[in-house]
Amino acid sequence: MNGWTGKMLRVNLTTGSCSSESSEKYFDYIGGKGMANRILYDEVPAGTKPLDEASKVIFAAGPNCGGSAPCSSRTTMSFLSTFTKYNAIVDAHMGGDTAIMMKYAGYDAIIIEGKSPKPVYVAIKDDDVQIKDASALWGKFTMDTVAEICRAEGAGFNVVTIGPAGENGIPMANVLNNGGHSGGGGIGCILGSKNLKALAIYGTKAVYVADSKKILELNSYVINELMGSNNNHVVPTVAQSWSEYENAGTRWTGHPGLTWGAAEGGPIDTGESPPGEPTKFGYRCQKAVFDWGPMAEKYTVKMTGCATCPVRCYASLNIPAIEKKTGVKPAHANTCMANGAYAVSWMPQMMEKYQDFEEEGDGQFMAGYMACTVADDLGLWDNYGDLNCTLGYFFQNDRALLRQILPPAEFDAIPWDKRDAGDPVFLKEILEMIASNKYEISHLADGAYFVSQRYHDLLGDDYLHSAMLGLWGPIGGKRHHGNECAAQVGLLTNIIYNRDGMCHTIINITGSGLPYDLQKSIIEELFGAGALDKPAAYTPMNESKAKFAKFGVLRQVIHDSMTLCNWVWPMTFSPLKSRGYKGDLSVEAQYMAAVTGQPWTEDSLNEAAERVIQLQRAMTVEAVGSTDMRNLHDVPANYIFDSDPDIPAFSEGTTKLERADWQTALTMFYKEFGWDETTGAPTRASLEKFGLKDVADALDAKGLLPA
Amino acid sequence: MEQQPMEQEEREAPSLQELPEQEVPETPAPPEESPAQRLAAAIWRTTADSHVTPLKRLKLSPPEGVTAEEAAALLLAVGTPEADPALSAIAFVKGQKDLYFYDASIMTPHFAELDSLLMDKDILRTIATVTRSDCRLYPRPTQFSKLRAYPFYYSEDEILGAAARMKDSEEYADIGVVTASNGGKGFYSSQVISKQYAQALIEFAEVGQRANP
Repeated sequence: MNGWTGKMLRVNLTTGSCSSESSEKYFDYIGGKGMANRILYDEVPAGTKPLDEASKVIFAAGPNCGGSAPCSSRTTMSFLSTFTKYNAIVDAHMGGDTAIMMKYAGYDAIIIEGKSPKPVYVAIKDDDVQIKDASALWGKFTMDTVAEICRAEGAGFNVVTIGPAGENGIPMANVLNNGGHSGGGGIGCILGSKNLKALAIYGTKAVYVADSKKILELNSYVINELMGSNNNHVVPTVAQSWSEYENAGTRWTGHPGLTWGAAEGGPIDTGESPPGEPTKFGYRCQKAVFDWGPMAEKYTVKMTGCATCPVRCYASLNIPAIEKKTGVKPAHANTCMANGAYAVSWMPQMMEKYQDFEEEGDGQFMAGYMACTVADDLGLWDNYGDLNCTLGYFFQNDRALLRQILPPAEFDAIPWDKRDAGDPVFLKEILEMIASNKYEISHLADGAYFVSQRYHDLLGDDYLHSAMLGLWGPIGGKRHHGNECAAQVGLLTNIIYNRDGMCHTIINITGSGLPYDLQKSIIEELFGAGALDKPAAYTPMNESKAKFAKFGVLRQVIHDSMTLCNWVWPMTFSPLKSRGYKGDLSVEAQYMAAVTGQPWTEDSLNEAAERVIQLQRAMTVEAVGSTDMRNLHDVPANYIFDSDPDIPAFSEGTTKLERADWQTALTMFYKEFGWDETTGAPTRASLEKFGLKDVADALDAKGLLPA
Repeated sequence: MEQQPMEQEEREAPSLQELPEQEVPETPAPPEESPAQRLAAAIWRTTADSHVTPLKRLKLSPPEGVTAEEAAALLLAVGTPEADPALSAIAFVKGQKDLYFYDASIMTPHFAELDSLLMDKDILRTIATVTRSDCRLYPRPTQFSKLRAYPFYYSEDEILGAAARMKDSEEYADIGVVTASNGGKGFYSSQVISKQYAQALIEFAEVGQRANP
């Protein structure tokens, strides 16, 4: 068998049994997200709550994982949301080596089910799968857990673990593999409820491919002609001698004079890294400086990343001063949002001043980096900054709201003196309090929707609609590359999910760094006139935008299913002027054909991806318990329409949308998927078109098919 | 390095007398580089170091084997039908103070223009040119942070000083400054975009983008 291993591992924590079975019946769903979602549909009854024993977690990878394509080692995990309204299906994604080790061990997916009576971890070495006692690991931080399991099992094991937050039942708890690649969605809470501390995986088998020569050709083509930097940003941040353009917002940060300042042997200049020079590729993304600002340069040891990824977006820093001043580990790394959440944006909401560490003005950076390390070690997920925004909301007005929700003794026990003094240890202690789940303040990590429910008398309805929270909608999903990124197109790619819309297809285009007119000409060629608006100068909804949004969603599904990293793919643009900066959207299908030996095309891949979305939408309808998705699920937060009160929507200077136009946007989007245009629910026809008759029948039996 | 078999290494080396007389083939002398080739090579080296080469420098200090007069004549013909074929990859930018030459096979006209602006050492013209281009092309304000970084490396004082001087200059009357809520500033050209639009764009570049990473 090529691409897929053809097997999946089932670990039942109630019975202690571990068995493998065929995964072939799920190949119509590609793999990864598609496979995991279908397994969840088949095996977890609608109405199950995330912490029930019947709840399951599925780790999955696609046929492309293990085949060497650039950025093909992300892990998808599907389960029920712990932190958004309806507890509907969500998927989380994690970099690192978990997926590739799982494939090398011989599995397309791992199904975790049941509940163990005591703390355990699962050690997987190829066919040898054992459930082992984890009593000694319970309570340990994520990085220490990785180290201890690797000491016991072997240094080559990939360890995915929860931290104390997951053990203690915090809804916004995550998993981390090898100490820095995190996956959220509340998975840590579910695994904690099952008493599962960690998975440790080591594989020695091969992933077979049908046409290895073609794959190597594609790899060379992608790296030399199509790929830019992280998020496939194809323009460097500063002018370089080979480049026509520069854009300060991109992740192609490497340039002459910018270094890995703490590299072994002395600083390494990232220099110029033009397209077509693959040996310099790894210097393009100096992500520490992108995430943390210029202070991070001198502490950067190197950039690293996931298996098979040339981009290297994972910044390893070593800051001994942090350990000296706070006792927190000095060396840490994370790939994405854990950095953003504790970097500049939201830190002023957490503390009003910061003590300097080593030089004037470095206090906020140091405190943020320390807090990120603490949160990752606790396995405490920020949910794209939800936790930080929530804390900021409750800290406003001299903590007036906090005083009202906390018992006086608890409020007084918080080390406010440290906060007043600008001592970063305040952040460490408050994060530890939250993760302990012993205090009322721990509920601020329940997720915005549940926070709103718990304190509704105090917060009213405004909370979930506030710009400060920054949700895409009141179900509790954070806005993640929504209307601020690409008008209606961005927001439509958010509302399709039951969490923050982790769709990067569109932001990879608008954030590419290319001038607007050039982006527009390429995108309009693909999706029609009016598909892409100018930044902060939007136009009313049109059908081209609906097609563009559908493309964004389907490509994400393709990537999360086959496996490719949607934080880099698709190759919509290229860094090469000689290509007119046009990328190549056929590459994913070419990889699928070369890996599996089957005649995959763009159309057949899109069809499989749409099958996955139709199923996900049907599962969401089941969770909502109504077909009325338009009014119960796809509802944006008010600030998306009400910001910039002095500037009308669809004029220069605002990213806000207009309510009536949004209803048009939904109708056009529903039409693209063949859903009922009134409610937004899948129809029998839209489901049966993708071979989902059983799903249509099940919805019909519950009265959940549109009339 | 290719490994020799052991027995070959252990063999006794023959004495000089034992060596057969061999005809030493005459190595043809490399063709002498023309002045145009020498100029092209000199310009390529500077371009590879990410800089344009001013005409004055090439005349004052021409490459070895090229006279100042030859250099001037050859370079002034660049871009005309009379240009020497050896200089076919060479292009130039007309700056305020000089002509600036570069190898267009390894440097874009855009970067050459930026470097020539920097060579002219006219900060007002540099900032205004970059700002108008940024507003027209992307569109975006030119963030002060961009001007502090490579290849500009202006200090904050230099940028603020330039902003103050441009206020009083008719030539730069279109250049204004917008400030984001975090204090980050950027230049914009009112010839190209409105202040309201520039304000929204600087806010996103400085604050919005970081809040939506």
